[in-house]
Parts: sequence; structure tokens; C-alpha cells
Amino acid sequence: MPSWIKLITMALLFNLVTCTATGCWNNQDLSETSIAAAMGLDKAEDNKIELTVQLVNPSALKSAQEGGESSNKASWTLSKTGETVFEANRNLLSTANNKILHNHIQIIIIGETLARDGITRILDFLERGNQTNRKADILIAKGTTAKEILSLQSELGNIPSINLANTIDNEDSIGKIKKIMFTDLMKELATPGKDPAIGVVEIMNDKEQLFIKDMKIEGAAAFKKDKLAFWLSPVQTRGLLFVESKISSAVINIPNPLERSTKVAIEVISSKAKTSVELKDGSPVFNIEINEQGDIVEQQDGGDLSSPEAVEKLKKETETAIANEVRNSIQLALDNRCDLMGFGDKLHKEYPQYWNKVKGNWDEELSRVQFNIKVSSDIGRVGLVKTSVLPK
Amino acid sequence: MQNIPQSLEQAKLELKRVFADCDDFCLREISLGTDDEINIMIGFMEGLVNKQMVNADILKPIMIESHKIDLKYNNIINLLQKELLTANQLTAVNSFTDAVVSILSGDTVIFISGYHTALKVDTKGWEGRPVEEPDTESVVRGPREGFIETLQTNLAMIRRKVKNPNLKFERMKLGAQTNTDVYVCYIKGIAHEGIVDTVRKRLEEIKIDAILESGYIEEFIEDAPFSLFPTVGSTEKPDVAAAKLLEGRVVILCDGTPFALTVPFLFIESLQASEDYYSRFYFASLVRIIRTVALVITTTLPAAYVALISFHQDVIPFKLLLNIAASREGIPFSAFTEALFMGITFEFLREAGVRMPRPIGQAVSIVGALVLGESAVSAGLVSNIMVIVTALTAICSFMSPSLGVTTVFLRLINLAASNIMGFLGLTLSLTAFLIHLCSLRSFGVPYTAPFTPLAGADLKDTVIRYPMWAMFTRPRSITRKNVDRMNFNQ
Repeated sequence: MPSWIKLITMALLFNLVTCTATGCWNNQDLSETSIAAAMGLDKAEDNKIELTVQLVNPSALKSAQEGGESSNKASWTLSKTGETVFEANRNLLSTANNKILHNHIQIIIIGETLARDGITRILDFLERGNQTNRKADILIAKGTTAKEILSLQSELGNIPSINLANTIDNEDSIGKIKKIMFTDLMKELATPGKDPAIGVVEIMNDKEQLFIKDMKIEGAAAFKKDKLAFWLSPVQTRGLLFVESKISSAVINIPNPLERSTKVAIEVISSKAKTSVELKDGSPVFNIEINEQGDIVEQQDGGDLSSPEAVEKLKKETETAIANEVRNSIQLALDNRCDLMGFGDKLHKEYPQYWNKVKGNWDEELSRVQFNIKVSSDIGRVGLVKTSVLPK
Repeated sequence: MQNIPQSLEQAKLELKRVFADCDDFCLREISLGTDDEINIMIGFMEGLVNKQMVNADILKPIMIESHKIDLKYNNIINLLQKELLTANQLTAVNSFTDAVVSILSGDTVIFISGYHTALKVDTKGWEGRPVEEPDTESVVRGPREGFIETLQTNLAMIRRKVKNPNLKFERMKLGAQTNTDVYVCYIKGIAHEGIVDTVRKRLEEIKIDAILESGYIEEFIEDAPFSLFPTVGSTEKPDVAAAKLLEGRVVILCDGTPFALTVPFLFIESLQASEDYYSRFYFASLVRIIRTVALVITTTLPAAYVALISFHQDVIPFKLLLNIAASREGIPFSAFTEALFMGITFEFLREAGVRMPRPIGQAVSIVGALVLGESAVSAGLVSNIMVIVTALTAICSFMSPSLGVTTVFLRLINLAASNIMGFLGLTLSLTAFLIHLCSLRSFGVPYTAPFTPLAGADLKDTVIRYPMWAMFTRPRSITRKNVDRMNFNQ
């Protein structure tokens, strides 16, 4: 065998072995670990950090599988404080009966107070450790603590955090929440000229016994660097998502061009946005182009909207509606000196020299940034009917 | 070599001495012709000969028909051979030892007074099992006949499939005590001569007193006697044997067993079955893929499960993990102990099922399924998932029967490795087995052919079976002669 074949074979074998070796720690049986489903981080007294984990109780799941009514809850939460996250994590062991498995954490919730102080110092532990689920969703608890949120029970399903994670996915699919994974958050934090926005959870009812359904999981928390700056409403969040091309589906209600007092509902099927930057007279101008595609899904009043002229009008209406939404969001961010849209990052990539000049006081520059929004809308389907049925 | 004595008395004494206390030995003295001047003695073993044949083809011609012939001027041997005896196989023997061996093989030997030569008549005819469908290689489509314990019938079954004078049957006698007939079969012009020579040489070198089954031979001629992997194949079906012969392999038939040996035996043959060639190639290919997957499952599934549970919980999807955690809740043993316990239990059940008398078979399945499966789970000794893993492993282990117990060893070694080092250990042990496989040879042919060394055209009959009309070459890894299956002029 020629030596190069040997070499390649050895290299492949080496790769094979080392790839599978990742994550190999030590022999720890599943029945001797407690699976954590969610994690919460809050600010405690004396500038300490309070770590809350939601643990799964498999024996309750087992009796639920076998049809029996379990006296135990399928999940319970533990909280411990420490000066560092790691210390708090170790302190948990004094209460938990087993070692805690962090790999399957679905949601990481950060309390508002802690978020206002800055999140990088708590996220370092998660990023450094090999036991973090980098696909976990991050949420900010608005007006409350993560501990509070995690202690809520779910009426659907055994484990509240699964319920919570599903809710986030639902809200994400209609463009009402800023869903962000741990790894993406770290990426955005590390990018110069890009401030992150994180989804928000808040308690809306004031009752004795609270459930997941008593929570409002929508909107976004806008960050300035790693500190919480202001809140975005669901509509404002959607404006941001349009710029980030993260809309998978959304509902836009526009006035019916034939009868302006009634509404037409457009379902956004896909939306792609492209941001470009050019230097005009020495200052940057950002052009945001959004290509949106939608279907007519509802029309509140009669009139034939399927004609080309009517569709043209509908497109115009949709374009205006989206452009307004996006403009409002961008303006809000710029007014708060937050670069949620990543304008700075864009500038950095396109005009590095210019960026190097302005990055020192990019905050100030932001307020003077000019931007244009161009939306081109397309209406694909009008549904199964041409006109609504009207009483005759 | 002892000659046959001229005097009948002498010969009789000798035979009585050799066959002393062998009460199934029959000796009959008769005379030839009208005036009883020529004495003749016939010897045979009762039960080994067809009595009809002895009566009609030997006794009757000598005692009655000979009256019609003038004996005076004739050489009696010639006369018997050419005119009198109507038996179809007649050979002259000069050695007394040969005569004794012939008698023991079911021939009838005729001693004639005054001659140093005896005549050996093939009168073999004993009670045997009829040709039946073999249990080990049953098929849905394809011939259902299987080899039986009688060698002659087996030879005939192969000959009936390959009507070609190039199909050679070379006889050998092995076993100092048993004198077992062993045939080396190959097709001249297709089989590699080097391989045929090697087979002959290895068979000749066997030094053992008894050959009761082809398994005795297998252990003597294996290339790697200590390897877990078999390097000699076996089959119970004449169509399989014929197909192997046509691929250039050598078949070794042994008297007294329905199992024929085929060499060289390559790893890929453990994934092939005769039915693959009788059903359409889509189906055959699908079945091959299933068998390949099953082989991987049966060797690695318990190991992979233990690795996942004990080392790599982060790889399991969250909801599946919750399921597994719920089913493992309260199990006092580690996943490894559980897997080992269930694996060994299954081997117990399997061995008991093979060995026990048929009518009790049901009891085993009840005990196995109910007590060990259901009750072990409800007693909290074994988790549900482990039962599923074991069952799947067990089912898959039956899909490559020629590897047999090899898969059990592979499974256990993989299991131990993955319990120590997780997927890393599993990968290491699989790599070790792969390296071992690559180092094996069967009668000079690399065991992992046609994958390593890569033999392009041979790949058409591996995991995917090409249509018959597209597989126009014989496996080049086995023979280089007459490889074109579509060219009849070679």
C-alpha cells in the first residue's frame, strides 16, 4: 500500500475516533442523574446570583405513563445562591439527590434586575462549560424573577418548561416574539455594531395559583451591549424581525381598498430582507429592501379583490403597512441608541475604514443615521372564493 | 500390503480373524458351474448392502446362470466380470486390506479359489433419511431439497444441477478409525487450481482417528483457527453448493452429514442467501440492505444504548430522554448490568430452545416471554427499553445465521468496551474488529473482498444485488479463470 493511502486512512481513522470522543465524560448512569429542563438566573441580595433549575422527576412521569395518578409532581424547582453561577450550581447539590444534567436545558430565563446589570458575566459559565445546551432559548422575565416564572405549573403536559418552549415556538411562528438561542445570543453579543434583543415573558394575571397560561410570552427586550435597555411590543418586535428576515409567518391587517372601513387580512408566507449601506456625502445611508409574499386569507366585506387592479392596491397597502411597522421599530431603536438592526456591523463589513473612524462614538452616530425602507409585496393566492358571500 | 490368498480356506481364516466378533459380517460359500469345481466365497456386511442386489446380481448369476456357460477354457475372473455378473459396478482388488475396507463400506467382495484377485461389487444400500427441506436454510422461493447423510445421494444432487463433465468429484478417505469418504468437488476450468491444490493438501494433512461430521474437517482446514470469524462456509442445500461451485469455489462433501463445506468463505457470504438470486433484484437488494442493517444492530445496539445512557445523555432528544428516564426509574442495576443480564438470558433461552425436546418447546417460550420479559419489567429489575433493545438485537441476530455465535461475542465485547469508554470505546472495538477482518484470509483470498481489496465488478453482488443479466462476471477475488459468465466458448 502506498504510504499516502496509509496516511489518509490514518487521518480518517483519527478523525472518526476523535469526533466520537467529544462529550465523553465519565460513566454516569441515567438513573443517577437529575435532568434539568430549565434554568433561571436572578440577582439576589449582596450582589449574589440566584440560580434556579427546574428538575424532572422521572418517577412521576413513569406513573403517568402507567396511567396512575401520581402524588408527586413531574417537576420541581430548586434555588440556590452563590457569588458565581458555578458556586450556586454546586450549592444546588446540597439539596438535589443526584448530579444535575444540564445538557437538556430547554429554556434559560434571566430576571429583569439581573438583565439590567448586564448578562455577560453570568453567561460565561454557560458558554465555558461542556454541559450547556447551546440550542436553549433565552427569555427575559419582565417585572418578575426567573424563579417566579419557573415555579409556575403547567396544565398541559407534565413539565412546564416544555410547555413554555412550545409556546415560544408558536409565538415565533407568527412573528410575535424574538426567539433567540443561546449560541446566537453569544454571537450577537460578540459582534461589534449589533445589539441583541431577547424574547420576554411576563406574568399577566394576579392570582393565587399561577399557571403557564397566566403568562404573556411575547415581545422582546432590547439590549444595549449586554444591558437591558427598553422593551419592544409584539408589533415592534415584528418590525425588527422583518429586517432580520426571521418572519416565517405573520398576519397583517390592512384596510380594504374598496371599502376602507373594513379590513383585509394578509398572511405573510415568506419575507426576505436585505440591508445595504452606502456612503453619501460622508455619512452612511442604509437601504432596507424587503421582499414579502402573502396570501389573502380573509376579507370582511364584499367586493371582488381578485381583479389585478384590486390586487395591485392591496399590495400597495401591504407595503405601506410593513414599511410603517419597520420604520417605527427602527426609529425606536435609534432613538434609544440601540443598534438592534446591526447597522454598525453592516458598516463594519462594507466600509471598515469608515467604521474604524466612527466606532468610538457609534452611539451618537446612530441617532443621525439615515435609512430608507423599500418593501415590495406580492400576493400569491386569494383563496377558494372570488368574493365573499353576502346576504341577498 | 497383504495379498489375497489363493486358497479359499486361507482367505476364510483371514476374514474370520479380521471380523472376529463382528456378527453383522456375512460370509457365504458357493460354487460356480455344474460340477462344483470352482469354489467361490462372497463377503459383505449385513445392513450395508442392498440384499436384492446381492441376490439378483451376484448369487443368481453365479449359482444358476453359470450352468449355461462352458467354464473349461475360461479365466474365471474375466468370465465373472464380462459375462456373468450383472451388477453395474465391478472392480478387481488385489489387496486384502482393500477388500476389508470395501466390505466395511457396503461393497460385496467375491473371493475365487485359486486367484490372487478378488472382485468388488458395489452393492451399497442402507437405510437413510429421505431428501427433505433443510431447517437451517429454508426459503420461500427456490428448491426445497437438502443434502442428506448419504454421500452418494448428495453427489447426485449436485451433479443433477451441474450436468457438466468438468464438475469433478475427487474422493479421499479420512479418519484412521472411521475411514470416512470425503469428496473434493470443483469445476475444472473455473475453480482456481491453487485453491483446489490447497484444499487437497490440507485435507491430506488431517491426522485424526474419526471424522463424524464436516465440522471436524472445518476445524482442521481453517485459515484462522483462533479467529471469531468463520473462514469456512457450510451449506445444507445442493443449489447453494452448485452456485458456489460455479463461482469458482471448492465444495467439500463428507459422508454422514448433510452439511457440505464451501471454501473460500468470505465475509460478504454471511449476508448472502440463496433466495436473493431467485427473487427479483429490487427485492433481493432490499433484503440485503435489511440484513446488513440487522448485522450492525445485532452487534452494536446494546453497546450503543449503554453508551448513550451512561455517557452521552446529551445526544438523546429531550423527550426521548424523559421517556427513557421514566422507564429506567427505580431500576437498581446499571445499564451495562441490565444489558449483560438480558443478553445472557436470551442466549440461555436460545440454547434451551435448540436442545430441548420439541413438545416442551412451548414451555420455554412461555417462561421466556412472560416470566423473563413481562415479570422482570414489572418487578423493576429491567427497564422496558432494555427489553426492546434485547428483543431487537435477538431478532436481528437470526438474519445472518452463518456468522452464528460470532455476533454474540462481538456484541459482548462491544458492550464491555462501550461501558468503559462510551462511544469512544465502541468505535475502538469496532475498529479493532475491522482491522482483524482485513487481516483474515480464507484459502488465500482476502476475507473482506470485494471491499478490500476493492474488486469493482464483484461489488455487484454485495449490499445491492444487480440483475442477473448485469452480473456477467464470476467473482474475480476467487477465480481469475473463465470469468465471463456470458461467454460460452471459453
